[in-house]
Parts: sequence; C-alpha cells; structure tokens
Amino acid sequence: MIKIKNISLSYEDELVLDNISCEISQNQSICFWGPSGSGKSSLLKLLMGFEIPSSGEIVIDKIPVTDENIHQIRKKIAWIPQNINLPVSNTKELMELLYLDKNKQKKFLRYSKELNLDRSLLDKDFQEISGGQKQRIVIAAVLSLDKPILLMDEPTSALDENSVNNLINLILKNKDLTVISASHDKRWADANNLILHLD
Amino acid sequence: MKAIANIDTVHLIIGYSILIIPLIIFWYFKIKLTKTTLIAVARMSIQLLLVALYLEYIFKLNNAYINILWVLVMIGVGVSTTIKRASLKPKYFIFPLILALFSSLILIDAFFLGIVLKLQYVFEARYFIPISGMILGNAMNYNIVGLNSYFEGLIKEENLYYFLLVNTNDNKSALLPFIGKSIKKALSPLIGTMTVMGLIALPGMMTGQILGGSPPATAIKYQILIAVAIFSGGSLNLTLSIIFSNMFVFDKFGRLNRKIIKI
Repeated sequence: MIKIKNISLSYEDELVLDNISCEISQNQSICFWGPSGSGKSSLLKLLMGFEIPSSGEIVIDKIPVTDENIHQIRKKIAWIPQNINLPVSNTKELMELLYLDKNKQKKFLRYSKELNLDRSLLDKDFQEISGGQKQRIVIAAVLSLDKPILLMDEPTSALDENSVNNLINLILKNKDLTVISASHDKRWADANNLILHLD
Repeated sequence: MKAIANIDTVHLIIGYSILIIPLIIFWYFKIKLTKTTLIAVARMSIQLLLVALYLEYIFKLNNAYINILWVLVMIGVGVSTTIKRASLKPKYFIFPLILALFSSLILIDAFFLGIVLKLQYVFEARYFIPISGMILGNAMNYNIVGLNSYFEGLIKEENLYYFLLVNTNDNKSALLPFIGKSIKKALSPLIGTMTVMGLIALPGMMTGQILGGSPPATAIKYQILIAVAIFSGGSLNLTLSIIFSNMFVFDKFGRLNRKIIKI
C-alpha cells in the first residue's frame, strides 16, 4: 500500500503541488494525469526521494519516505524516466549496467518477446534501432529487475499504437506489480485502475 | 660530454625577439591576443626568474622541512587553481582536494624516489622538488578537466543518475559511468602523448636533461619514469578527488547539491 498524504511541493515561490492525497493498493495501477507543469513528474520524484515535500508525507508499505529509509524504499522501486541518455551502445552493455544476472537475463528475454522485440534486434547497436525499440528494450530490462513497484514517466511517448497495447498488456495487466505512471496518453491513462487528475 | 652553452643577457633578449612572428600574425589577422601574450610572457619570465632564485637557495639549504613546506605550498596553489578553473565552490572542495593531492603525492614520491631511484634521502631538494612539481602540475591539469566533466555530467544527466540510483539501489553503481567518463576524458590526452613520445614530440624534461649534460640514455630513463609517475599520480589524484568530494556533495537521499559548481 502506498499512501500520499497531503503533499505540497514548492520550488522557491512557485507552488507545484498543493495538498495532494491518494492511496494505491498493492498491485494496482495509477496514472497521474494533467497538463505539462502540473507536477506529475515531481510527484514521481517525491516517491523516490528525489524531491522533498514542503509538507505532507509519503508512506510505502508502512515505511515513510525519509532519508533514513530511502535505501529500503528504493529496494522496492524500479524507475523508467521519459528521456534518458544511456551511456551504453547495445543491449548487452545495458544488462551489465543494471547488473542483470543469468536469471534476470532470462526474464529480460521473455519481456522483450512480449514487447514484440525480435531477438536479432537485441544484438544490434542502439544507433541502428529506433527510439521506440530502444525504449522497449529499457522497459524490458527494468522489468526484469523484479521489483514490486514500477514508476514510469510518459511510458508511451516514443511508442506506436501496437507497442502501447503490448505495454498495457504486459505492465498494467500484470497482477504482481504496483504501477505508478505520469502520462499525457489517454489510452494509457484509461487502462489504469485509478487516475489522479492534477491541474 | 661538452658543457652546455651559456645564454648571456644580450642573447636572452635576442631570443625574446622571435616573438615578433606571432605578434605580426595577431596584428595582420586582427586577432586580439597581443596584450594577453605579452602579459603571459612577462609573467612567465618573472615567475621563472623568481623560481630560479629561490630554488638555488632551497637547493643550497637542502633542508627536509623547508622542502616539505615548499611542496605543501605547491599543493595549496594547485588545489586553489583547480577549484577556480574547474568552476567549483571552494567550501565544498578545499579539504577533499588537498587530501587527495597530498595522499597521491606521498605514495608516488615514496615509490619513485625511495624504491625506484633508491635515494637514501628522499627529501633531497634536487629530486624531491622538481619531481613533485611535475607530478603536481600535471595532476592539477587532469583534475580540472576530470572534476569539471564529472560534476557537469551529474548535473546535466540527472535523469541517468537517478535511473541508475533507483534501479541498482547502489550509489557506487549509479556513479560509475560518470566517474569512468571523467577519468577517460582527463587522461586520454596523456595516453595520446605517451603514444607518440619520442616520435613527433621530444618531452621537455628529457630535452632539458640532455641540454644540461646528461647522457641521452639516462635522460630517456628519467623521462620514462616521470611519464609513468605523472600518469599514475594524475589518475590516483583524480580518483581520490572524486571519492573524497563525493562525501561532501550529496545529501542523504543521494541528491547532488547543485550549488557546488558554478555553471
């Protein structure tokens, strides 16, 4: 269970989030929905301890997100940001970067297949594949970390319609995963159990 | 071997006159470098003149405490120059950078002066001061490039750092790509220099020793050792500088304090 209790966040004089509260049960999915600048990404960062709220509290599985507990909190969380400039040039290096052992590599191959990634594509240099294919490889790699909570920022931004459907089936219909995402994409938002509207 | 030809004052001044070539180039192509060049040449001349005066005095005295003090002054100047030129805020970096440079220098000096050169007295001014100076000067240059690249990388690629920090849940793993990139960027020029050393570039130290009357074989051996010492000292100093600085620039959430760098 994840509890966001009366969270407010300000940057200098600008109020980004004002008294936001919600609860997400285990293995549910929630989408933070709203226009650019509404604080969707900031709310995700608050969950990981990369932003500190001006007031309020976040509790994940009965553990408050504080500096003392942050290591324990991050153990449970996997994170897929929107734009990431990876310092690796192929899938093998990505697996090394995330320390995927043999067991996790097998899971990675399974998830890749479910995301419609051809095996030959995984041997290619990242410069030879499209942004959408690279994004799906990153998603498969992060999923194979096997963490119970998945945070995603604009997960469908580089994907075509078919890939979005695959992603919904793989992630939002996964009954062992709590998924929290920020998105502009209506198809994605509607497929979640909950939508939190931010203005 | 013949003694080195002395340069008298008149010929030293004649030597300066060759600077007319770059100055004409600057004037002809309207490049605003004349004033900067003249200031740089004047500063170099005054600084080296002063160095000649005090080194002569320090060499004559050859006192371990004075030699150590001199090297400590060089460390202080090196660290403050690094902080300034890498656009870092002094209050976060003075202590870690001094500690890094001091530790690196002790190790490299002890190894090369004590073990390789087998000096009975490792604080012998004519070895301790110039060799320490060469290591320090080069280490400073690698640190400026390396630290700037490291912290700029962490700020500009915050998303990558957070991605690794959360997914690996390990600070070291999250920082590894940034550390690797900065060390590579800082040390690549020296690796390039070593690759062509003797072919298209004759190093200053070796040339100086040969001009000073040393046999080329001895000068080359010293040059090899000093290149190895500079490379090892530079890489150790940069690595320690990053490790020690990391203790002061992240909060308990692993977030980098953005106020540490002036960009």
